[in-house]
Amino acid sequence: MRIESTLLIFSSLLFCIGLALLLNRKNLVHLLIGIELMLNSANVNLVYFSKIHGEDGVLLVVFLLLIAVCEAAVGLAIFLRAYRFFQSSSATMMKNIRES
Amino acid sequence: MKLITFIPSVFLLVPIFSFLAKRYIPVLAAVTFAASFILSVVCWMRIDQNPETISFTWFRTSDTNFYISFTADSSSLPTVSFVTFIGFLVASYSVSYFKNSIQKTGLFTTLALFMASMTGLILSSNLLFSFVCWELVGFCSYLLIGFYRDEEKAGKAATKALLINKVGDIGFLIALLGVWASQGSFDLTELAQSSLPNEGTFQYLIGFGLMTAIFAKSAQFPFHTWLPDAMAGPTPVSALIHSATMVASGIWLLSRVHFLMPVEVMWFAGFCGMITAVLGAWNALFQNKIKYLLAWSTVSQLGLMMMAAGWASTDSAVMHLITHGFFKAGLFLAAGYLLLQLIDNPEDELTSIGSIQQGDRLVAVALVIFTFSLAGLPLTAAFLSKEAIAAELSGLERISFFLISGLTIFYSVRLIWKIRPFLLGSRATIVNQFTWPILTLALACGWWIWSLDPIGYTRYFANGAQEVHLNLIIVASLFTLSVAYISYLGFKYNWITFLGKKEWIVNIDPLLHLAIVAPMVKCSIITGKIDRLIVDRLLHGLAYGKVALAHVLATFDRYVVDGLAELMATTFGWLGQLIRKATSGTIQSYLWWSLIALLILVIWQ
Repeated sequence: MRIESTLLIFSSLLFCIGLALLLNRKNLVHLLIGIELMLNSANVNLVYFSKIHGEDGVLLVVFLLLIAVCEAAVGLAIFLRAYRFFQSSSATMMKNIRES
Repeated sequence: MKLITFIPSVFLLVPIFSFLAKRYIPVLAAVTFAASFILSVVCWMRIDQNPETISFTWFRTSDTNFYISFTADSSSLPTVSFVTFIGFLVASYSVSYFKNSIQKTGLFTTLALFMASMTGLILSSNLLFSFVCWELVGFCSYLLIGFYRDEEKAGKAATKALLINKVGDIGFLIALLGVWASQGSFDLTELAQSSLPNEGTFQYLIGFGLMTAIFAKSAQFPFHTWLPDAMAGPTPVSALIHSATMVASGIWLLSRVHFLMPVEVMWFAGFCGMITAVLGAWNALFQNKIKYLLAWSTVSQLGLMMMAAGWASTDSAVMHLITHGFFKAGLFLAAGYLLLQLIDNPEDELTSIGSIQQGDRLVAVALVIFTFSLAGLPLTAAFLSKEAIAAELSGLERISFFLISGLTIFYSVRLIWKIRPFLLGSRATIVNQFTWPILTLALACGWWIWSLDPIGYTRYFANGAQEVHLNLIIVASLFTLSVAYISYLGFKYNWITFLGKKEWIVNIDPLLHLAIVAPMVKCSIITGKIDRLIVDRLLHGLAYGKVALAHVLATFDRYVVDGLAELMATTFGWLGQLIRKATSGTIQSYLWWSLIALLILVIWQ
């Protein structure tokens, strides 16, 4: 098996795990972790495809990781406010926001 | 000639003004009666040779107009003058007769309506309008006969008169339908000139229908039984019913519609008239109550008129109707006046009247004139009208006519004989409100109402030619005078003793009961049984079937129709649930949906 297909299968697995986390878990922190996993699988793909096309994508990936950290910080801050407000970190509690 | 429309309508002033105080109503009634009489005489004076007709549209259906039409000719106007004249005299007599009655407003308004419908009937030249007037005449007579409404006898008599007249009305209706079906018109002048052939069936339908109506109204055998019972009404009302209005309407209608009658029906009418005349005269022989005697004599005289109409001509019948009206109204008014002087209600009224002391001389003379007129002695008007009838009859018919006239003379002489002490012993000469109508009527009983010649007559009053039948007059004078003299001798020497016995009265009521009422009751019982046993069961079966069908339908409805509806409701409810779930508000469900959408897009690409 070549290393390229192994990388693609890895990134796909990573994406699917992230998606499964995102879709099935109740806790907001788990959801955030799922999102991070999916982002990272995209990063793996980005590195791989840049290598194939002969261009340098690694720096962009480092930059993206940095952005991901910021995003995680903002998300965690929002989750903390939400937890304070709803007394729960469950994603279903968020439906009380809707107009009714 | 528009004036003639006011002859019937002027009477309607009385009901319109019936809100007035009670004591003004009788006077108002008498004034309107007089006004109507004067109007008719004025119209009569202005009449031309040609009959005139005035029509008003009564109502219209989709393609036909129905008219109220009045005709003025040399026959209707004299008759209407005669009717209103009698009506006026009776009304002014009634003003004093009913002075103390508490129901006089009702009486006089009914009398006015009675006269209005009668004059309307006489003047009408449209069969439909005639029918309406005819019904009104019958209904008013019902009200008037039942005037003493707290007496059982009066109520029964009124109901009997109404019911028997209803039988006749059905005949009239049948005839109306027949006329409409065969000729398509109700106008009498059109019908008289109509060239459409009358088919046989219709002809006899019309003939017998009209004949039934006329028989019921004019009290012909076998419908005559209501007339003597109608004596339960007040005497002035009897005077009106027996002379000018109720019974006259039948003969008058016959004279109007005789051209619609087949010859055989007319002959049959004459034959029934003969039976009626014999029966009436026979029963009049045995009456001791003066009103009942007069009632039976009316039946007899109506029979004579029907004989004349059927066998001779309707003109002579109308002639006799008029002379009969004058003397019969006078007899009734005089009888009412004399009965007021009796204290109690005796069984043998004639003897009691005979024993009135110091009677009224003028009334006695009038009574003799009336009775002679009833007998048809020479120099009276009735002699001339009977002569007019006899001149047109021949053979056996003329002989039977003479014999019935002989019977009439016989009971007239008996009447005079029974009350002779009163006639001979009367001394007082009083003219009061009761006597002047009687005396006026006595004046109208002479020969001069037909012509100035005591042995000739002009048939159409002023317009006809003078007719004299010299041989007949000599025979008739000898016959009447000799019969009168023989019966006078018979009473004087007491040859005749059986008269006055009730057992000899021919009463056909039980016969009618046996022949008509009892079979009808039987029939109704049988039809009732058929109804209960067959028709009711059929209906029940039908009803049960319907209920069963309804149950089946209800089940179908519940399970099939309702099921379909519920299925649709459930489906859409489920769909709704599904769609509602999609928009539940949880983030993850939106993520699911967007994932599915993304996958679909990717696959389709």
